[in-house]
Amino acid sequence: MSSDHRLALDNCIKCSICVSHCPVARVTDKFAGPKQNGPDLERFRLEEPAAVHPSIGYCTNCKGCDVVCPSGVAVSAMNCRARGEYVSLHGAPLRDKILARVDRMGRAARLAPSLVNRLAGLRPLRLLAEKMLGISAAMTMPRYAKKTFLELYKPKNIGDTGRKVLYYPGCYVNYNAPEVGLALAEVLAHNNIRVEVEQFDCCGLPLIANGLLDTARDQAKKNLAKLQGYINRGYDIVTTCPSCHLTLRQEYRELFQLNTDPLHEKMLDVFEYLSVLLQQGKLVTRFEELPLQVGYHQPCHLKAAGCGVPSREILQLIPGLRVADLDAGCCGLAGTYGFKKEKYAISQAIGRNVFNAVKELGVRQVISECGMCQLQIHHLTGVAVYHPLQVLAQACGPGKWLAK
Amino acid sequence: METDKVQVVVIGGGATGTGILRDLALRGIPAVLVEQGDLAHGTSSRFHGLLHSGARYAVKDKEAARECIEENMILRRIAPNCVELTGGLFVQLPEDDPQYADRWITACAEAGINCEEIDVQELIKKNPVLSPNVTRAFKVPDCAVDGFRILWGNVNSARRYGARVLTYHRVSAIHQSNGRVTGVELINQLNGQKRSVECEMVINAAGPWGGEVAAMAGLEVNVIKDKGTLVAYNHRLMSMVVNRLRPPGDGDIFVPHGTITILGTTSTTVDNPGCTKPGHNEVLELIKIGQEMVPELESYRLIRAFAGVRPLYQENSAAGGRSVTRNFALLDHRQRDGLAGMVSIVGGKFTTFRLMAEKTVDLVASQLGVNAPCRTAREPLTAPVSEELLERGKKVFGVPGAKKAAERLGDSFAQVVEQAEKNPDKGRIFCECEVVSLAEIEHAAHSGDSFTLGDIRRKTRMGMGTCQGTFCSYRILGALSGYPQFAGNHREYLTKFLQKRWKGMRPVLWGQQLREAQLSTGIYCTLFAMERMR
Repeated sequence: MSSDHRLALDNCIKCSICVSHCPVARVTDKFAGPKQNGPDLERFRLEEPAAVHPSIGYCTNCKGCDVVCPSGVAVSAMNCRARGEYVSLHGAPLRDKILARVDRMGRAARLAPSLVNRLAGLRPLRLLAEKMLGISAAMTMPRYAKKTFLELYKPKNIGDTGRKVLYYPGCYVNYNAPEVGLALAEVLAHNNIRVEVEQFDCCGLPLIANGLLDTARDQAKKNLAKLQGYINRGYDIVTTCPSCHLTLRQEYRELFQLNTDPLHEKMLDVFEYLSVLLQQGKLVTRFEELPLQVGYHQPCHLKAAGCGVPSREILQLIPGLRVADLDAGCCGLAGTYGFKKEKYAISQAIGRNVFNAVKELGVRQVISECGMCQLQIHHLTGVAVYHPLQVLAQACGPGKWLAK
Repeated sequence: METDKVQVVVIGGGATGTGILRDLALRGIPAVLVEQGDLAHGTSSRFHGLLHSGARYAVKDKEAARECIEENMILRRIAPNCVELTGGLFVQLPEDDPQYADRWITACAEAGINCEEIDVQELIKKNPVLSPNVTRAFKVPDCAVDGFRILWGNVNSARRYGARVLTYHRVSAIHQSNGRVTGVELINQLNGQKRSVECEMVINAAGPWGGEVAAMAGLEVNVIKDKGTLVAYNHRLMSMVVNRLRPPGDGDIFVPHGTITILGTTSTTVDNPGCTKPGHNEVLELIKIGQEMVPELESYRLIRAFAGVRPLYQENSAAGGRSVTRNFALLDHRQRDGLAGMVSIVGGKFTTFRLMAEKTVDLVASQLGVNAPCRTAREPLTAPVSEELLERGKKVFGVPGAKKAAERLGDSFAQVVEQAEKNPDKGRIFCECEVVSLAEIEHAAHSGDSFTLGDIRRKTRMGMGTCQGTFCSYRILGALSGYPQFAGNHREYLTKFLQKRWKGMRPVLWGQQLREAQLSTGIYCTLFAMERMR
């Protein structure tokens, strides 16, 4: 155990604020809570590494515990490591190994995305998958796009502003929601900035959340080496997925002790990047009127990144647009979590607050940065859910960015 | 006044006293043990928790070293649930006399203690908190030992053979007639009631109180009361016991003990055997010396300090401290003072408690005309918990909860698991720092030997972790209010319990433990308004 880790462990004063804010512990007794599975049992694991509670599987890895901890304890990292230990001791079910490989699922779906989408909607097949694999038949499956973002994206010829931007799209944008990546390109093109893309590995978050840390570590090393190459050549890196962002920046360091310092300066959420442009007076603020009222849901991993809501400042520049904060906490899906049969009900119970907020505000459209939050909110409420970039792209030009 | 009759009365519920009780019981000698407080409230719980290999004494006292290694091996065998096989290290630093190491190696070999030199680089890789300046390191068969469990193991084993225990009973008089002890008078410390016990023999195993007990029979036994202060760190700093390879001194042993690490000790002669208040300056002194072996010691969190009084004995000597032998002495008062029916066992150390008990009972048995041989070295203290039962335990308490509970409870583990299986609410963890379930706490409350929250703490470890009882004490009291001994004034129970916890925290109030204390004060004084509560 590193010296930092020992100090972090010693910092916990057992105040239990993490437990009182844990969305899972709020709705079920099945999870012993972030404190017990984290800093409490960590003291036992120094004697007996197998001191992991089976309830660790109920952690959603939302990282709310890290956000609220007044003592600077890396609670979620301790929980993630514990889950890794649990899985290395007891193995992971086949279902988890499948769900954790969102990149492979995406690649497999490439063969016939429409067919996959149709099969995912077939009730008997879903019931079979629930029985055989434990994948909830009730949860809406993400739809695969006909073509991936990397296939669809054609760099435009734009006048050189001297800014070099590399986009890390992440698996969801690439396989399921290429329109978000295209919206990014549109928005940056509006500012005469050309976006470059590259084939990356999955950031590894689904693997981490399923306790498959060794594979995640390998992917982390590969991604970091590739990103470092771009940073060395003077690129800024932008992301649109808060979870990929947090994994690359924070998890690689906390879980795998990799040096992510270079990313701290050079990798930005796209809205952070636009805010910097705005501060420098370089953002093109010519937007079309958009008479819309939308609800905004802040993803947990964006909260955990500690950068506030960078999209708020930019969206305020759009005439006619009104954004109401749902302020309802975690949506409960947590990536692969809500797709698991035994966790579906918990996931829905956590998301109830989001459902109530949408109903209360009476909004018909919701925006949120995270693809999985989008899916859950749509599943919970039936309203259309977009990435804030799609709204921004709509305000930039004549395209049809808000049609589903 | 209630009057009892028994062949032997043992005074003192520490390691030696309970060891004697068990030995008597196994030889078929009817006995009752009387203890003024709870078992192990004295020196037997106020030490390092080190089961010596004897290496520490090898150079200066070969006989003690030999006894240690023999007893060490016996306890591993008869009480595996009380012993943590950590192994021990002796490390030499540049400022230590290198010639001492050579003398020590020879002495260990002569005493029969296995010591093996190990690669320093490897060692530091495995235990990165150790100083990179370590010049030589040796492995010895030191272990961590749990004083509470050993004592309860002794008592439970003795009870199976008919022995009895009276805790919270202080001896107020030792009766004698015609140069013979005839019985003792006791005062119940909880309700003030008196009772007397007629007996043929009294065994004084009162540790630091040994002089006071002897005085009640009009005898003079010079027990030197030597206070040692120790500190407990919040987590396991290292995986093995670490000793300094130099003549024994202060602050030169670290013992990883379950979830914590204990560093000690100091040595000061005191007048009062109950003087267990750790001092702030002693703590600072310990850290300063400990830092030589663990350079970053200051940055690690201390959860408390505690002190115990070593009962040292040297006939006709007024010396104190480290120069006094750690050997034990068995005083036959018939021979020494002309009082038949009384023996005192004084001095010694935890590691050799069983041997002390054996020698004592050998003498007592011969005086009582009993020929039965000692069986305590062969018969296990508790039956091992089966794998199947442990697996069931893991299902209700989780891995660490089940393992620790199985080690603590031994034979009673099955009952506690059953309780939790029948009623899942009982499987809930009430003390989260030390992972103690409600089922185990209720078992302790139900045992008939628990009169205070402190008694439950000693049996279960609840309240001994990071938060030092801040969260578990009120929770537990809520769950126990159905028990008559906890149905009274909750403010009083909490105050007594927490004051004892805070006594240990006070000398280490800085950094995170200061924040912990503030949180605790906030909860009890502000949220519960205990200051204003009647």
